[in-house]
Amino acid sequence: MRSIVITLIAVAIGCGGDAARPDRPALPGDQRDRSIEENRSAIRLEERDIDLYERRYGYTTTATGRGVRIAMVRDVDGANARNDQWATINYRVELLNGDTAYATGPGKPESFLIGMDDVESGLHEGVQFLSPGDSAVLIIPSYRAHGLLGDSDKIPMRSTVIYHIGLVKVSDRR
Amino acid sequence: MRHPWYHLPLYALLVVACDPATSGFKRIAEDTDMQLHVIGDGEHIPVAGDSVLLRVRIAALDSPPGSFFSTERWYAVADLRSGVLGAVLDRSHEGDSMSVITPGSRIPWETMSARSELQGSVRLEFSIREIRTKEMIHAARALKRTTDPEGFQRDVITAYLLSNEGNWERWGNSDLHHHIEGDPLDTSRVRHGDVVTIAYVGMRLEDEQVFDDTERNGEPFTFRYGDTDQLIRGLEVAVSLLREGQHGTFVIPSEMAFGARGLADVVTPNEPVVYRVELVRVVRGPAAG
Repeated sequence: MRSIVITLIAVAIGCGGDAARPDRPALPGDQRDRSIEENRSAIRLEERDIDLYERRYGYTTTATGRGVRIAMVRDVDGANARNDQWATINYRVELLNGDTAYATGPGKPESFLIGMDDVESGLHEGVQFLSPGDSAVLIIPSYRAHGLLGDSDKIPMRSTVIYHIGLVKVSDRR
Repeated sequence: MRHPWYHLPLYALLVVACDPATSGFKRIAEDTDMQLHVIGDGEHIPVAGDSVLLRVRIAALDSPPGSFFSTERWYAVADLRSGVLGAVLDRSHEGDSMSVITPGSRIPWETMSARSELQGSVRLEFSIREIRTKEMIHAARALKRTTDPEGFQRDVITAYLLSNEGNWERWGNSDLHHHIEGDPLDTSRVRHGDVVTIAYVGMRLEDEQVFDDTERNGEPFTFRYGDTDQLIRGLEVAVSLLREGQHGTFVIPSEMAFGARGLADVVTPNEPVVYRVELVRVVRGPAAG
């Protein structure tokens, strides 16, 4: 009896310290294929939702590169914002259903450092298409915004976000 | 009797020409072959500044088409033109569909947002579903301007407010927005019958081009508040919101400014305007009952 207990403890300790375990266990082939396929179809559905949204609101957008779409509403002359500059923006973030998630108050624009700060990666990309005084609608798919999980506050899982954004000013990083 | 190897050169030529990988392909760059499957009816060749809706499927030569990477989404043409795709895009129009065989190193994997890269020869199935040019976007805006002037105007006003630091307030339910600064010399509002002197600058909302300026006209404008047809409606509202000594900025929608007719050569029909107004002096009239 005692030998059995000792053996069990030995097995438990021996199996616990598995240092060579990979961080992410590899899924078996068919499951991995299925999850790739599901992600692919989720992205396809999201693209279609965005197309329908554009049509409903009459936006004609251009692609900025990695999945973000932009429709300029106010376009004044000037140099576009660049990486590593502070951008001061007014914004209203909406979801595809028209709900407003976040917005800056009048007279209280917010700033972020382009390319560095913890805002949606699609925003870093989109703002570089604007010069001070410009205003645009940015449609950012979930994989460039808050992704699979949302932000556990106002933005639900797998949500496209729509930024109504105006670039008030830019200033160089000191 | 001819030598049995007499036809060998011919056979060799046949074998080379019918190489199953590249038969029917046309060489478009030193290491790249392309075959057109469908010719679309578009005539525009995508250039930098355009967006294209692409369907792309990529696979190694010996695996089934699209088994490595496949997607359909909008790309900016300027980004795509690196590597081999520039040469491909130069030969394609809207609706075209083609296969391309090229070394994996010539494909801009990062732009396509592929997770990993393929080495060796790859086969690319490439179709251009839609092209959107800058001209088309301007045309769409112009169309909205004529078909939905109110929606267009609201867009323009919202965009102006967003791109501006001012602490804007909305006047009631209207689209008039204002932002008032300065300390009042007199806290009571302007009443009917008061003689009011204002200095103002009128600008187009779109590019802040000045079309009316009391200073340039010589002197501030004086009128009796309450008299009709002295000012546009938006400026009357501005005067009623200001106190003597204050100045403010007013975004005025076209129905409170120059309406559907506009102002010859300066303000187009249904165009909102912005005024900077200063209430210089108020001479109180006889107190109305």
